[in-house]
Amino acid sequence: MNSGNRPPAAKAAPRLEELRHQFTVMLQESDRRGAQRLLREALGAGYSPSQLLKEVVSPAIDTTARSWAEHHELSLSQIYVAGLIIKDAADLLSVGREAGEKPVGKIVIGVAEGDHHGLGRLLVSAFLRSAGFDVIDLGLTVSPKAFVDTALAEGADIIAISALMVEPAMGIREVRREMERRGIKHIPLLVGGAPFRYNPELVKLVGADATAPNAYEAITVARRLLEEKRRGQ
Amino acid sequence: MVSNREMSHSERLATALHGGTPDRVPVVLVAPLHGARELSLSTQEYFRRAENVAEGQLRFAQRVGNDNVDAFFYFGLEAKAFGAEVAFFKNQPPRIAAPILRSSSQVDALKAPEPSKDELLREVLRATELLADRAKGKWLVIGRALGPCSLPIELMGMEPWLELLLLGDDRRRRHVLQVTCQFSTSWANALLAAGADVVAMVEPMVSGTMLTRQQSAKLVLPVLRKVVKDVHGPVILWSLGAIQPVADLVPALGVRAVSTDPTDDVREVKRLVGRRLGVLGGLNDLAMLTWTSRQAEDEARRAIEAGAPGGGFVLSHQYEIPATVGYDVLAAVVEAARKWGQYANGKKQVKAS
Repeated sequence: MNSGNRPPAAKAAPRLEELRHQFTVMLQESDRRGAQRLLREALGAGYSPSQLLKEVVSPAIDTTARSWAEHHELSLSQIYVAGLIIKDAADLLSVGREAGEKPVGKIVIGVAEGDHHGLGRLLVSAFLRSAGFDVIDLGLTVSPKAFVDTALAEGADIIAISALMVEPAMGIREVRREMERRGIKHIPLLVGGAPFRYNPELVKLVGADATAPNAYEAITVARRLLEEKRRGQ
Repeated sequence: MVSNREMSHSERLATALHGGTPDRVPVVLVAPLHGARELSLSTQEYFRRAENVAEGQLRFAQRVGNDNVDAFFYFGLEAKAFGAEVAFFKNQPPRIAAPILRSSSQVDALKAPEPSKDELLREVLRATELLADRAKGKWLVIGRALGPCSLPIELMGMEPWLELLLLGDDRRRRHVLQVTCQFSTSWANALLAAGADVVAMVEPMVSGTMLTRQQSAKLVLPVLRKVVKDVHGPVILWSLGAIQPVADLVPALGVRAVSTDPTDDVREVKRLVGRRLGVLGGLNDLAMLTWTSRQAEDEARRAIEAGAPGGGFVLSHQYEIPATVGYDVLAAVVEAARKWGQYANGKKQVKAS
């Protein structure tokens, strides 16, 4: 990594902290085009993809997630465009872990069986990937068996399930039952979506271990579950 | 002016929707699946015939005592008129199996269907006529139409619609909204012509939950204002989300009343929309899933104390009552309105417990 905080090829290029600040503002103000342009210009100025990812994009996501966690009037559109900006950045910077680098943890994610609303899960996936998690996305209307089979086959650390509709949300109980039938106690169940936001008691009712009220707070909750899991091992 | 005589359900609700003070706080419950429960029918069978829906909703209102009858079937019926397939599930509202607009060329070719030519929409109109015939003057008949800015969610899916609305091609976005405006207007007018006293225009996109205040003001409120202007009767804006961030912009839409979400402060929404508009809400229908009847009464009392002073308040909830919520919970809500929601001399009178 360049320790001088400037790209080697271009002395006049903006410093990393300036880029970080600008990218954070663009992320929070839904400026998708601006964020793409900023990263392209930074690459052109000589910064490496991994430098931009670690010192611009990731800290900007952390700052934004912290700021939004305190902000109660955030709209879905802001989170949605932030998810697109993060995905653009991941594509542009060819995010994938560098050789030998391990993921923070592995998460199997999907939408509850019978539910076809997938936006929440896409946003959560984008934010979790940006935080270094390996995310295996099973898509819409996923059966309890598929969640558990995949989590076991992939050695997942967490199963995350999203639901917008009430009945599919209540059906997450079947995932917990399937885990109990197979004696699985080491994989926490993370749930999210409107039913859990409006009635947090449902989290316990379906046998889940935690919920996150939105995509960016899913990072904090997933990190906590992972830490608790590792402490318990 | 407050009368001490007991009003009919219809009078009570109409008065509150006008921002006035009825004899007591009215209650609006949207419980389409409880109609099927009343008749012991599957949702598929229940929604097949207008007679079932009219009978189920009347029996529900008679049993529970709410002040509305609702000619609403389910979300997705508008998209079905555009060509989507509907899927049915046990104890859940039916919904469209998949969005019909999957490519730009399909979006560009989108045309508004004529409501009277669609078989299912005709059944909804017939159910509205039957309810109007049997309930007129007793209960207020509410028709429900998906609004022009949210109908595209059903047609193309949430993610593609957000992308087109926020970041997409202007011409294509205008085309979609022109088609949905045409449809929402004609559908709302058809419901009114069939006998609905008021149309609840369901617009989740008009809420702080979905868009920022600036995005709402620029992208969706002008569209909805035009539709409301062209609808020949009273309209309730039913947003399904948090209305407070845009509540001060609601009076300019020309609607009669506005719904709230459990995250809204009903007092503050009433202040922001002014005295001429009714405000509905105060209850969380998803929380009802785990309420006892005692909790229901407590929650309803809390909501009444927040919303009732000054009139213009309807005790209601954000979306629709889940099928498994018990009648004891719903009856406790209505009982709380009777017990704690009485008005006297233009002021809310809170009885001592």
